[in-house]
Amino acid sequence: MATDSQVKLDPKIPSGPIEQRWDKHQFEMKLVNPANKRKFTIIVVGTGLGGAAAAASLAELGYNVKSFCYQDSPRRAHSIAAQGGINAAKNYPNDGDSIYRLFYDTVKGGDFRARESNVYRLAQVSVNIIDQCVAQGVPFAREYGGLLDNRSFGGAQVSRTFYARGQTGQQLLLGAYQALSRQIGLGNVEMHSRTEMLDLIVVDGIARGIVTRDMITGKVESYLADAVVLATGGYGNVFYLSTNAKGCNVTASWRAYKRGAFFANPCYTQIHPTCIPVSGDHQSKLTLMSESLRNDGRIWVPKKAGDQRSPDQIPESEREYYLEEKYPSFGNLVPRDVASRNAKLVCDAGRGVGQGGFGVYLDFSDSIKRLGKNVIQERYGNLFDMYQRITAENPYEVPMRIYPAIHYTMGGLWVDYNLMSTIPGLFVLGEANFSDHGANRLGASALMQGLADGYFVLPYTIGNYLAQAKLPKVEVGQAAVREAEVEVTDRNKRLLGINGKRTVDSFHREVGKLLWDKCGMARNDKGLKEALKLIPEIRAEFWKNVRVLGANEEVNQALEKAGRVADFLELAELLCLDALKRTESCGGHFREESQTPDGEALRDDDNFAHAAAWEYAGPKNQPIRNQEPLVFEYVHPSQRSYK
Amino acid sequence: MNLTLRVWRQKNAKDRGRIVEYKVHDVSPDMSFLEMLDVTNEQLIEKGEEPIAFDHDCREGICGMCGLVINGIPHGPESATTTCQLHMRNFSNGDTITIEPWRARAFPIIRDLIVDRTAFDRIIRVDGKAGGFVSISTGGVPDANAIPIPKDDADLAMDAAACVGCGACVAACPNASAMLFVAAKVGHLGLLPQGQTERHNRVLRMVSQMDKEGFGGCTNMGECAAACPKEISLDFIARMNCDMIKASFVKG
Amino acid sequence: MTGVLTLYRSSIGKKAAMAITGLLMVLFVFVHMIGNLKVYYGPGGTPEPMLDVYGRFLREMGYPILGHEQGLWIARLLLLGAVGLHVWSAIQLTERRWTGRDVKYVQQKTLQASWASRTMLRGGVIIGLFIIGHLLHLTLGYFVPNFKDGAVYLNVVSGLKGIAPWLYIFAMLPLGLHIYHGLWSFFQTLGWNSQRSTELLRGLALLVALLVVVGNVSVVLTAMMTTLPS
Repeated sequence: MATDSQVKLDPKIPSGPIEQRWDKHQFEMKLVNPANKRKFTIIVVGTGLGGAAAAASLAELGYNVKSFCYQDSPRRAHSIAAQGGINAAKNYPNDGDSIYRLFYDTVKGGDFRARESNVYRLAQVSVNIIDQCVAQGVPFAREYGGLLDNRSFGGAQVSRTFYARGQTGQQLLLGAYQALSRQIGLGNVEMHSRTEMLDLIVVDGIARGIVTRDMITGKVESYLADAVVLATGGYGNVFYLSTNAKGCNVTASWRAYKRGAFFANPCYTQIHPTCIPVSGDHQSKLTLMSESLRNDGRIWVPKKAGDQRSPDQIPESEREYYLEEKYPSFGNLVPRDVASRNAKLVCDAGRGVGQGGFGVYLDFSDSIKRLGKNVIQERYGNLFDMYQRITAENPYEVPMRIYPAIHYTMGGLWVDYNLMSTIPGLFVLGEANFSDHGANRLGASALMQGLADGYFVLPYTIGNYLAQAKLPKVEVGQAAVREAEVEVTDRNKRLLGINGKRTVDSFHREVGKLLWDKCGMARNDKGLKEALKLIPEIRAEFWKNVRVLGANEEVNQALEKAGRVADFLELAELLCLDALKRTESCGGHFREESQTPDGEALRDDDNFAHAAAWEYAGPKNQPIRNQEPLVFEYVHPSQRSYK
Repeated sequence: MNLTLRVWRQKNAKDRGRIVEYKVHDVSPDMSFLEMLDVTNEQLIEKGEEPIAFDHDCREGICGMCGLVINGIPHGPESATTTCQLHMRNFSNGDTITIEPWRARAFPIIRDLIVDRTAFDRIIRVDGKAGGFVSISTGGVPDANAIPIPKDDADLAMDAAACVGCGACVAACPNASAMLFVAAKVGHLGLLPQGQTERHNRVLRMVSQMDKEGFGGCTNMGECAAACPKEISLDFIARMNCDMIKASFVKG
Repeated sequence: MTGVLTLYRSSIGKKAAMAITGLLMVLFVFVHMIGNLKVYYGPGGTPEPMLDVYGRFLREMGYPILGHEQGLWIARLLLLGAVGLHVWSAIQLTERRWTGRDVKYVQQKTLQASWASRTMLRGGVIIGLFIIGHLLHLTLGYFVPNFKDGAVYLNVVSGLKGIAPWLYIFAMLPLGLHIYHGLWSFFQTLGWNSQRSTELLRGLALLVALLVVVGNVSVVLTAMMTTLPS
């Protein structure tokens, strides 16, 4: 990689044996005197698991916290939609789990592209998370003896997943929201809902605040602080159709990137195998169903391409249970990336089912025969109801149709071990950062990471930063602040002034489809180069021909959307560029040029055992690809095999 | 399908607001209700008219952000379904559909179909001293399995905790009462050992805040539970009443 | 004591007040209905009609601890207090209701609420007016030809002629509905209702409401059709 610059990215990993690193680091970190904490103001953007947990915990410690979210209430952040559960190395079921095993599984599941020390810490604090949530009153599922129930999830060999029906994310988020509400009530957190962050204020190279737009009045305002925390989620909506909430966006991260924070591994996007297929052009989002469905459902397609018969007309001998046949030991429970990719392969071969041929069957008839309808209803009743509501088909009688969809993004702003980005004073949590899941995230690990970062990591590391940082006073009138405000205002004016012919959504759909085709479940050199040529054209067309009606000084959802899509149009290019440069396959990033003879993802550890952290180099220049080498001292890279 | 929409349009909180009629064409029965509104908005923008503002986010029935009164029913005709999961196959070609925002004094209209539901947040947080939370800080908590909780209690608590805070209960109640919302949180925490310490203060403060916000009183009509997309039972209101009476005498 | 005030200050407390006063009145109405059934004994009897005996019993209630009509007045004051608190709470809750939704829906559908639950206010007002009329009529003797204190049977039979019995019968409809929703509400408001018991409690409320209505209507019809020898 001759073109890649070798700027040194210091991940600040503590030395010593991995089990002791976090403890040692906690001791070595500087503390802020309790009386001084209230003199520090911290901005937390986003109120999902990471943001709400961080804002609440920081306020409890005594910091002055300002919290921001674009929704009407902090309780609505998209963490709420996670269904399956949260992992923790509690080993309550006595089935051999341990911190080390969770660590090992996560590094391996991430296809050896995560930072070992972060992952180990994640596994360590996972046990505290469950304690914390139970104490908050999160109603986790219990056994008849009154103790917590665990289940095995996403193909894990141990039962380490805690859950609250199919609404684990909701319950964990409400726990964090309640903790945050308490701090708002006490006056320790100033809450700004319906307020969107539109830029980061960097003064003398240090993050010192944000510029926001009030989504009711349109007022553009600056908020200043001693540190800024971004917990703004992932960028899956760049694909237009994803399982993310409609409002999820990359704007906060993207503006930080343009102000100097490095964006790492944008091409690591996770595709979830069990989503409800697209039903038409009007589709605005995709609905995910918990992958626990794969525990009892069998995935198949007709053997013959273009077979239009209804599923009950297709005899056993003419069906192909492709996962069971190809991966006898894991069967339908192979990891997400493998399940997704195989669905794509059969559909590309013309054997997909349903409208448009983008779907495979997930069939419960055998399980219903074996266990009875009642058992299936008990396990998946709410999912079956949801499926029926959306598709008008009864999955007890006809097999479900599923297809993969963009679900999570492992890439994000680069952070060091302290969760600080390359801009001092800018911390990034949860899905918005890149650190813990490598190239593929395991099921039930997203909730774990968000809460780990928010409750148990950031409150320590931010103190260490504040205790040592030299922070001169900043004021709203200062040039750097004014400049950021003016940029935001001008940009909105520009969007409102184009008055072209096309709606914002039409551009979003266009770029989303392009990305899905060229940089979705499988990528290749030719496709990526095409995308890299087309994206700037779409972007240019957008700035020439988009139509945003109304004014800035009112509720203007089209304007909000336009700003977000404008950023997606830039991110899309970086995503493809990253995918193009990473010529290996790993986890969710499957490069067709790099596969084993039997079609599995083939890593190239010699050239790509690193995180690629992209540095913005101005509007005219290609961004710079920096590398953080990943060292595997404990879990030695091996070819993942689920055969 | 072709439809006639009668939509509440209101520029801002001060504007009086009115019903405006729109014709929408090319609606597919597979669309969700909000996708139908997306299509309407695209058609409006093409005509140079400002799109209809409505709240929505996850579009999978869990965030609680969406909420429209459709033909006089909060979240529309299908039971246990949020607006975002309602599909157009519930309607027929040529139908006229009336779409209004939640109406309650405690939920002032911001624009068109968007209302301000921060009253709910204030009921949860109250003044930070006992409210819709357990007053514990991060760290220093006992092991998760230190306190066994009977499965039935945990399950019932989960039934209450399923509330998404959408406000359909208020919208459906002829009195615009928020009892079901408040009762769900009081019930959820009141059923768990973790919530016992603050049980009395919680219900006193949350109910007092609820009254302050200007919601109506409960007359046990049960419209709230019937409209609730998460099917939260009226039992929780009875449970809260009981708690409230006890708490009043214990705390005076 | 402060507990009562704390409770009453809240909307739930006002509901509880309505529940408790309401129950008191339902009990009264039920006993009143049973007393009314004495009409069936007719004008005969020794030395006076059964209904008059019953009337005298009410006046002498508590004798000899209490003096003449003292027991009756205690009961009347209690009932008056209950009515007063019931009405006052209703006014306060109604005000909350009217201000709770300042702009009405253009279109609103009822999902499942019973007619009884939706007509509590209107029904309550009708019942209130009926009580006033009833007191003026058969207690104070307005519009009763030859009204005579203590001659309850004669007063009832001669009073329930012409339009009067029809007004009485008409008033029983809102009373029945009010009791049906009110009695079930009593349990819900005081927190003694749950999914397991709700059917039972609704059944109980229906039974009480029916007994009151059927009992009273039959008494009115009987009185109406009875002709007194002149």
